[in-house]
Amino acid sequence: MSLRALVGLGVALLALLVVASSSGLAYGWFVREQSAELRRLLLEDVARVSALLDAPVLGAAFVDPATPGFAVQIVGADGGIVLAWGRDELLPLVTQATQVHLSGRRHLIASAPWRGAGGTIRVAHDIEAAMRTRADLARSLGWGGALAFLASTLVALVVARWSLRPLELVAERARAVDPEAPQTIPYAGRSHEVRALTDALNATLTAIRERSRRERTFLLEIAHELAAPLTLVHYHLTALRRERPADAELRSAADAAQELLHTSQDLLVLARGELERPLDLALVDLRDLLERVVGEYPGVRCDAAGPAPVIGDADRLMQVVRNLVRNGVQAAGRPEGVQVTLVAGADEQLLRVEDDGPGLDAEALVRVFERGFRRGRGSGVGLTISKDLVEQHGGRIAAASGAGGGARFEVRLPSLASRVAADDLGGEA
Amino acid sequence: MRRERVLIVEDDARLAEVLARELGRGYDTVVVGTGREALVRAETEAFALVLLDLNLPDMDGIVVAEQLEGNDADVVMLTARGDLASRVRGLYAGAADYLSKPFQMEELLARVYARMRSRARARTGVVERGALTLATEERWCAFEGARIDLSAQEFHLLELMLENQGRVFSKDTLVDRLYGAADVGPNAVEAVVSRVRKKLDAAGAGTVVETIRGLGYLVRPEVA
Repeated sequence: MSLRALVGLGVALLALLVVASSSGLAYGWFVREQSAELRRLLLEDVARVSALLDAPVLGAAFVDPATPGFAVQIVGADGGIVLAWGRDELLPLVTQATQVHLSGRRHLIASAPWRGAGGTIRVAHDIEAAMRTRADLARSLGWGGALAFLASTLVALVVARWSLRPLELVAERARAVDPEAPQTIPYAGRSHEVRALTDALNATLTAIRERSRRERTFLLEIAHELAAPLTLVHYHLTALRRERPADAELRSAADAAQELLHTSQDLLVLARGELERPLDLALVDLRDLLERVVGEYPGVRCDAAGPAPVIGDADRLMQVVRNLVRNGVQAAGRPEGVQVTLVAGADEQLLRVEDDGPGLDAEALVRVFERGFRRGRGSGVGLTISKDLVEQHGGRIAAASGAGGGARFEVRLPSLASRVAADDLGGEA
Repeated sequence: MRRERVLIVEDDARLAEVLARELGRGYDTVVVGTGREALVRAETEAFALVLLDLNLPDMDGIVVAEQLEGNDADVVMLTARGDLASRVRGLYAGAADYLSKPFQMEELLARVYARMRSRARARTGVVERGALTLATEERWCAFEGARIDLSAQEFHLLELMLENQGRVFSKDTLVDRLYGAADVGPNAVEAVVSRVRKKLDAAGAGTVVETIRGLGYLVRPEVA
């Protein structure tokens, strides 16, 4: 249940309680006062009639003719009506003021002894109008209460919504926080609670950012420490290999150095956050890149139609091609087991790398681009980086099982032609 | 012929030695290990190219790069720190190159040779693309020998793009390079590009400056 609904419900229940109890009190008070007043008026009349009977006053009337619904009966000791005003049927004898129905209307009646004759004085007041007033009041209180209840519920909901809006705003901004580079959440409102929440969130975000900054700095330090030795090892081994091409151990060492260099380049790309770096875009022929990479892995079979121009960052695309070829060579266990095909198309260029290695199972097909997912001897980052780089170039990468049982990777990049705007001369051509 | 001179600024002595050996095959090399030395040498001697490691013991390599901006020498930066490289690239946008460490020597040599070649081209005072000729010293432009009148901005744009054929220039980069700190939007660049296109098209040169959707502009190298 949302906080807003909870607050609304709480306020509504409270309003209901207040309205019901205050209406009940007001109604009860009115009923009590009204009953007392009606009773007092009736008993006054009884006393007046009684006094008049005991000591008649010249010119005084038992009944004020202007008073409607007022009935007086003077009843003899035998129970017969001696005198009657307002009503001819005998009024019942009561010991105290009592409400009765007479001819379908509510009356309040009272009796008093007629001391002179041993009879009784009986008085009736028509209280129908007063009772109607009472019912009207009850209705008014009911409707008013219901309206007040509805209005306060509505106001409560609106106020709850309005006062919880900053919370939603903070939640929205918290959702938008980039986990890679968390920025603090701005809040300029005046709500203390929301400010406290935002401050707490921001303290956490700042701590996370600081920590990841330290980690990144540390990785960069390592990168710097490793960069020169790796460059040198690779350089010297490659030079030695050129001098002594027949030396198998030297070739193995040089290959390993090459491997180390490229893997560390991949790792450093991740550590340095270079994937977020803008690409250095230029016209690149995929066939040139492919030929260079295949040259690094003698034995790989290559079938490249071309040219296959794309817009991209040559270094990054080279890294993609190299990663795929290297991945294939590792899976196949030898360069001869890898077939690279480049198909130049009108809208996109297709690069396919197939190997005759053990292939990918169902799980691997789904997870092969995840960071840290390992297949064979690979570092597990090469394919992850390749996917990111391809997508940065507006392309797609997919893994599938190859025809020969191995794995097949396909990269599709938008061709140059598909990226050139047609209206180059702005309608002047 | 006099050999070009290259200043190698690298504090790792072993790497510096290897770089000097490789570049020494084609150029005269000078090796220094600190930023201060580098600035003094670059100030007092003529170099064609400075190979600058951004991680130096005495000062920030970025500062060295900034102070070299007015120097005649081209700059190729080496860094193990990608974040620095991107800052520097923003600074120069096409006027310098960089390479991330670790690198393969062939890569580095390829960059240096490319810089040297474009430098040699620039020294002739003429850039060409097919029959389109831009005399960068004498400030004229011609297609098949017929002059095309260009404003200063238009000339600057075409010079930049012809000197960097194959490179995609974003509108933001062009705003930077054409207007510097002046507060103009991408519309100004669009207008300049549009005028250059009309003039080249009127002269019969066809579409030289192409629009790469969402990315910027490109001048394709003319295929021989």
